[in-house]
Amino acid sequence: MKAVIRQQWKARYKTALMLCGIISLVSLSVIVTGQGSRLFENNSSILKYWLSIAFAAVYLGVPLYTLTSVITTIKNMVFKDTKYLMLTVPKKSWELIGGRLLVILGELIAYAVVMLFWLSILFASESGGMISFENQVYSSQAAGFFVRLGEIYSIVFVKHIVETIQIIPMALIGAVFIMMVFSFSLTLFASIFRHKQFPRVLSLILVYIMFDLSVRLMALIFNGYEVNTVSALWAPAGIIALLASVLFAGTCVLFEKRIEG
Amino acid sequence: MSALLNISNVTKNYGLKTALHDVSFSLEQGRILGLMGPNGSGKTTLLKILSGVQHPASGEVTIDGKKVGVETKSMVSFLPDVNPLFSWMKADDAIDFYKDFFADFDRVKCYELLDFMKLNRTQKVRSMSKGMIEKLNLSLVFARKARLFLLDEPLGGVDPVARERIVSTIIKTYSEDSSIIISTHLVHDVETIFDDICMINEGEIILQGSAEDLRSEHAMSIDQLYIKMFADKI
Repeated sequence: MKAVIRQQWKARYKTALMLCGIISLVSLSVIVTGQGSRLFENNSSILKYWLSIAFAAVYLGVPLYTLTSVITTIKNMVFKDTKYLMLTVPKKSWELIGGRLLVILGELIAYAVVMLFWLSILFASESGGMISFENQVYSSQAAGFFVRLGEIYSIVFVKHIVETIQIIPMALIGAVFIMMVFSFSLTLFASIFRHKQFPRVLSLILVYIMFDLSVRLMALIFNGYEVNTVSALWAPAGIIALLASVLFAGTCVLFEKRIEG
Repeated sequence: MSALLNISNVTKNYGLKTALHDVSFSLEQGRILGLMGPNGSGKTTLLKILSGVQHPASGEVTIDGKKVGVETKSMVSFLPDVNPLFSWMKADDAIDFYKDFFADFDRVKCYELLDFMKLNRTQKVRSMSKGMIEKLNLSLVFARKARLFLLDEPLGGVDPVARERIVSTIIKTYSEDSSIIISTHLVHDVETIFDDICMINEGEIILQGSAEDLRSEHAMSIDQLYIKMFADKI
C-alpha cells in the first residue's frame, strides 16, 4: 500500500499545499484587518462583505472539496483511461482504493490542523471573538495575545483533553463514512453501467441520492441514543464505523469482481 | 520450448454482445505473436483478459502455469491502446510510478530507451504529441523484465519515423525468456518480426500458426494473407 500512498500523494501534494496557502491567506487577511469577531455582523463594509464570503468559502469549501475529491479519484479509477495503469499493477483492490482514500483523509486532517491553528490565532487576537468560546478565556481578555492563545490551547489540550482525544477519532469516522458512501455509490454505478452508454451525470445523481440516504441514516442512528456527553457518542460512532467498513468492503468487492470483470 | 501462455476456451460477453467465443491457443516462451483482426474483432478484449484488467465469462488463462490475477500482473507488461498515464505526470514521474509498482522495472534501461526515442524526461505528458506518448509508454513497458509483453496497437496513429523506432525497440527488447503479443492493423510494418500469427474475427480465431508456415502454405506475405482473409469480412 506504501507505493499507492506515495503515488497518490505525488498526484495531490501541490493542490494540498496550495489550499493550505489559501486557508492561511484568507485567515491572515481577517486577522490583520481586525474583522474577526465582526465578520458576520450586519452593516458590513465592502471589505467585510468580501472577507466574510472568502472566509466562509474557504472554511466550508476546502473540506467539502476534499471530501468530494473522492468522487474524482474513484471516477478516474473506474471510468477513465488511467484505470489501465492502476488495474495492471500487482496490487489488491483494497490496497489501491484504501491507499488513495488514506491520502485524502490525511489531506483533510492537514486542512483541519491549519484551520484550527488559524482559528486559535483569530480567537486570541480578537478578545471579542472569544466571548462565546469559554468563560475562562473571556475572563482573561484584558491579558495579552500570547496569554489568551495559551489559555485556548490549555482548554483544548489540558482541561478538555479527554473530550478532545475522543472527538478527533469520531470526526475521522464521520469523514471516512462520507468518503465510503461516495466510493461505494460510484463503484456501484460503474458496475451496473460499465459496458453501456449513459450520461455520466447520472453517476453524480446516484452519489447524491446515496449521500442523502446516508445523512438520514446517520441522523436516525444518533436519534436512537441519548447523547449528553462526548463519550455517549461512541455507540452511534461505532455503528457508523461499522457501516463505513461494510461500504469499503463492498467497494473493493465490486471493484474486483465487476469493474475488472 | 514450454508454453508460457495457455488460453483454454475463453468466452467473454459485454451484455448481449459476445466479444470472444471459445478462444484457445498457447504461446511458447521466446516467441512473438501477431494478433490480427479488424476493429471490434476481440483483440483488445483478449489482451485485457491476459493483462488481468478483465475476467473471462468462462474458460481459463494461465501465464507460466498461474491463473491470471495479482501474481501474473507482476509478470505481464501491458501497453493498452489508450494513454494510461496521468496528465499531471512528467516522463520522470511515470518512471517513478513504474519503479514503485513493478519490481522488474529497470530505470537505467528506461532512460536508455527514452534517449533512443529522443524523449525529454522532464516533459509533461499533457504537452506530448500522440507519437511521443506512444513512445514513452512503450519505453516504460519495455523497461520491465516481464515474461509476457502485451502491445495493443503500438503503431496506431504514429508517423513512419516513430513507427520505425517502435519496431526497432521491440526487436532490441526481444529476449528468449519472454514472449510478446502485438495486436495491430498495420501488418506490413511488423510482419517480419512475427514468429506466430493469430487472426481473429467476431471473437473467434479464424487462422493461426507459425508465420513461416503460413507464408509458404499460402504462397503470400502475412500482409497479403490478412487482406485476403478479411477482404469480404470488413
